[in-house]
Amino acid sequence: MAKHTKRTRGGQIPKASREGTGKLSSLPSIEEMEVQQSGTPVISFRHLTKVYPAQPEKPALEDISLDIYAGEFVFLVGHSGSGKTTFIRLLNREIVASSGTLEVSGENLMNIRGWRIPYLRRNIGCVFQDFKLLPNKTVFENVAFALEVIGKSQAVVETQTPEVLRLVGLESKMDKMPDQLSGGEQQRVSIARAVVNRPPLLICDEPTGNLDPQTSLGIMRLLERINRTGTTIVVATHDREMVDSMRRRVIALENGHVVRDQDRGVYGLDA
Amino acid sequence: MRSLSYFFKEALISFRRNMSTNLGAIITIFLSLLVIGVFMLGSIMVKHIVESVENQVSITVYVADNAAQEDIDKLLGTIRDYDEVSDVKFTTKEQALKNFTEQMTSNPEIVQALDGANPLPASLDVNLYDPQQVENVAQRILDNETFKKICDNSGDPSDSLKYGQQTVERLFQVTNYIRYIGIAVVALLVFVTFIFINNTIRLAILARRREIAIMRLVGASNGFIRGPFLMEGALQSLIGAAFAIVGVALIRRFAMPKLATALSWLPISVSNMALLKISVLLLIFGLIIGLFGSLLAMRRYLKV
Repeated sequence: MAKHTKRTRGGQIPKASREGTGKLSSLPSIEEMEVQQSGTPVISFRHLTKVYPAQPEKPALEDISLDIYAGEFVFLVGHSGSGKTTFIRLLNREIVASSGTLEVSGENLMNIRGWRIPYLRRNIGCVFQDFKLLPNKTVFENVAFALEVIGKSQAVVETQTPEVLRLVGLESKMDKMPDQLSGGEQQRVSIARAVVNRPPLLICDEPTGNLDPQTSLGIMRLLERINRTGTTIVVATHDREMVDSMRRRVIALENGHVVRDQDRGVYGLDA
Repeated sequence: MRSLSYFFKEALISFRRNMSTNLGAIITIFLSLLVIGVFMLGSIMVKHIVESVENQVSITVYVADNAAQEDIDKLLGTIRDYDEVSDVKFTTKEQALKNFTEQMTSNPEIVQALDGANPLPASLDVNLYDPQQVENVAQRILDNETFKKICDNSGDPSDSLKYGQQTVERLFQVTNYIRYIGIAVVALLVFVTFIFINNTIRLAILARRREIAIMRLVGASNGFIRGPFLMEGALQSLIGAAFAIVGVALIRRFAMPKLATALSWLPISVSNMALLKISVLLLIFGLIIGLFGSLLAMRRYLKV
């Protein structure tokens, strides 16, 4: 039933073929968005396959080829186990792909040297489903850590950290420890930490995974604002409402394959 | 330089926040090092005792009554020139008798039985730097021509040279055993302590492995992550070692004089120099374990 269509944007034909289901392409068509595209993509997958040793028969991702360009806001959707988290974890080199090539911010992640990895990660803000805040540091110190890591001076840390905490609305909780905050607040701290050094790429794994709809909306608004400053954003989620209301590029994964790649997409009907 | 002060600041903060874990590590290091320190103290004491026993070993060369003074002086000079010999004393016949009389004050009848005659030969008393060299030196004296000429019993020169032949051999066997056992015990303790402290540090870092992984994911380089942890490990071992050194010093100051009065026939004493050596060793050993242990324990968590 799936009719293969090429995903086009701004008249430019992408290098890799992208697939979408015919059914979805007949949804209310919206004029093509003007996406700022530079010649080279920020993220570039080529025939990428990831097989976990524990499941040699069933690849977590298989033969993925796609590009994500600077300034894009991409949703990665799919069921649990469809490969979303693997996708995200490949991007910041938490795991290494089994075959194919993957380039992120100009670094070839298939053969990046160990000492380069921290430098790669400094160009990628990461928001995790489980927040991954340092439990022994205050909110301020957690955010400041991302700046200290890249060797920013104390003065920069002391001006930039409160600024970004104000952006996420947590300026009054700077001296709290993470376990004194609610889930939504912790998630906002983790976003603040991810964006404080102004990385060109922000990847989020289920940023609203365990938050109520109201809080989720707030987080999405925040991500949208960050995107408007030019930051490329990749969000893995299964929050249908959020994806449908934002109408951004949607990449749907199923059993490790890209089953749909669509500009201004929705979560999907099959979910 | 800035990062060094950053590491130190971070280590202090983390030290305060993980007080109980740190306290545990410090106490472990303190107790382990204290045990090692006490055994070092003990081995130094034993070494002193052994040495003082060994130092009683000397060579006595008996000289014939008719020996020419110039020959005696020549032999004296030759022996004095041996590298192993610390000093040589000449005891005249008269002096020998006088010494003998003094020793025999409880049995004056023996001296009286001599009836004014002096059967005691003059002698050379040879002291050595290293008593273990006694056989070697004795052999060289035996081979000496002057000695053969002036020895008391020219029929059998070896009879004129006394150093407690068999006894000395056995004594050195025993003292060497004592030395080896001392070294083995301290080595074993060092090993046990290393395992013990290493495990404590490993547990402390295991508890924070998530933290290390998060730091990696935020883009911290390994050096940047290690810094505060190593500084914290160093701080723990320094404090632990300081307590241990104070403990050892207190034992030397208060417990050892009691032991010395109880066992007054044994030369029990540990010099300030030896105490300083123990302190430095404990400090270095503690630091090495603290730093090395932290480094080892962190290694696997830095691979994210």
